Amino acid sequence: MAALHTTNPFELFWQDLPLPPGSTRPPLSEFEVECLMRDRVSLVDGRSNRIVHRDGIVLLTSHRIIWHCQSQSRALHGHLSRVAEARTSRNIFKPSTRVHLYLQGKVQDLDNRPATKIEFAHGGRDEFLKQVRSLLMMRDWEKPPPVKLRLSPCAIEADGSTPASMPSFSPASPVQTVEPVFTTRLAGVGGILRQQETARAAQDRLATEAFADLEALMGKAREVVGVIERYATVLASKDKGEGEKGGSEAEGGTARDDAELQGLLLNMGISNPVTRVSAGSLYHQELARQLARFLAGGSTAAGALGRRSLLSERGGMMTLHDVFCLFNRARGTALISPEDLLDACETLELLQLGMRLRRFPSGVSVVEAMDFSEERVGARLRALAEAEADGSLTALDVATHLRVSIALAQEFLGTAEAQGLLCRDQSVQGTLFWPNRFPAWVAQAGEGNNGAS
Amino acid sequence: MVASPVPPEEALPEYHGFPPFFTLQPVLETRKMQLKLWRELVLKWHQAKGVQILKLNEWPHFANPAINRTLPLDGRREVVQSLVTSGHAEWKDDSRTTALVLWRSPQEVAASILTFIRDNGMAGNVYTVYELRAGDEITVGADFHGTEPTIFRRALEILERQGKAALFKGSSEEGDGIKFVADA
Repeated sequence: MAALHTTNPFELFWQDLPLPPGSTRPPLSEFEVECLMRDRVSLVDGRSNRIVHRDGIVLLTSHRIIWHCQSQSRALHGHLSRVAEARTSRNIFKPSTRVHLYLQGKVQDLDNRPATKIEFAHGGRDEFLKQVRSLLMMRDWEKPPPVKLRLSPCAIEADGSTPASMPSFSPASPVQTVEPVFTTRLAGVGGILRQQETARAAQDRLATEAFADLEALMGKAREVVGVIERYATVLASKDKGEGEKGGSEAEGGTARDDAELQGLLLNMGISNPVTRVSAGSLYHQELARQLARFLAGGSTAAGALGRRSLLSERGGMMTLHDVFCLFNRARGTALISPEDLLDACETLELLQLGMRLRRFPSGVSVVEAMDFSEERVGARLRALAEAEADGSLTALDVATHLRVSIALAQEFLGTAEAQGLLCRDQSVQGTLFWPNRFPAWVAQAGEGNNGAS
Repeated sequence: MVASPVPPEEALPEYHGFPPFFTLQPVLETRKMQLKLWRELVLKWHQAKGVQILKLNEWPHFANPAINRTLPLDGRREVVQSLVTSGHAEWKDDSRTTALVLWRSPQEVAASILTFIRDNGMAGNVYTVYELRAGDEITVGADFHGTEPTIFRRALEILERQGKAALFKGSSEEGDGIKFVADA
């Protein structure tokens, strides 16, 4: 709660962030990108040096610092634009685990500026500080939102690339070498420290600029997603238009191309992959959340196309192999290992993300939606079998119809068989599955026997 | 008394043309129903033909050439074993390839014999076992006429245990004498 006339930087900076009902996760705005996350972090009032909020999770985004605590379901946030400087304590006699945030405003005395502090009692302070500094330098919030390009679908089809010319980046400004002029500010222990600080800042800048290309490329990724989203809406509206007109033959051809392109778009759209560096000990949980968003159709392109989610499109169940391939393809460069995926999947159920990891007796591991129903799949298979010309199904038939892998198709068939919906026919041609008609015949026979005896 | 490989005139039930019928079902619940249908088929056929011996590799309906399916030997054995369990068959040999199909149990045959004896006032006389079972004079037309010897013998033994008949040792099993008790 920010009091209007307060001068306490803590209250000036931290503001209550209302959480959406039923969620313990602070929502991000449209172009905000998660950069770093640390748990067991406390917020400290800079004046009294007292801990105000203890042991929460701090989330650093391109725009804000968000602190939230799941047990209290409370969240605070402060915009980075209000931060003038971030650094560690100057007191070399008392090692500190805190980051000091100095706010924008009138600066009278640099050393006695009011600050608000964040305490990293369990490590992670330096990474946080480094990231905040680089964000303060990038000033993402001042950048205009990604250019909304006026694209016609043909523009992309024509040359296969986005027509947006990549803007050139300002060449790295040479590291400033200031001739040292002696002042009292450079004398004594304080002076030495200050000099070191300056030297380090210069190195930081050098490093940042060296990687500027890479970061700029990542910045571009955001724009590319924007372009794709726009293109997707164009496609969607075009679809509607065609539906009304009926569509000529030529349009039928492009409709197929469109469908293929839509499929491609669906698999894109993760602009801020969670990495070990950015999430620390929360890595697997964060990965699980991102995975859940991805599988539930969190990909923005999929949402714009109004398609069903990845998971439900595949019958509510996917093998871990499929998940691994699709997820890594969507992540692009920040690939995850199979072990990490498995660990992340194991936390899915715990975090109540609407899906869970499941292992079949045969050893096949899958991610399944919580509302996945074996009865429904069984009934669907039986209907499929009855619809087949010869009245029977193979695993391959099921894989084709339900868009699942053969291994999963076999699991489905096995489950439906165990439910008594299907029965098997082992012949030289392989294993076929038929609707289980034995119960009906047994019922008939039972009546017949009763009549005879 | 050997199952004839002659194709049957009567129509086979619909499930005999259902391919999964010839695969022993791995799911217990489904297998129970499948075996029940097999039992029904075996008993009805043997009853209709008056045949009581079932040889696993000879009974024609363990296969259906029309749909190119054959119940494998372990499946056949499972079918007969379920008949044995339900009291409708007995293995004749240790290798379990031949079985006696009891579409009428010895108890049923025993009851039938007793009724026939009473109805015809045959109590108190001595007959040979063969005479009653397959002779062409006294019991022709009785429903137990032509019963498989082992079952017939077992039926008589039941009656003896109940004190309603007495067996006398003869030259052979078939030549044994039997006398039914008059009172009852």
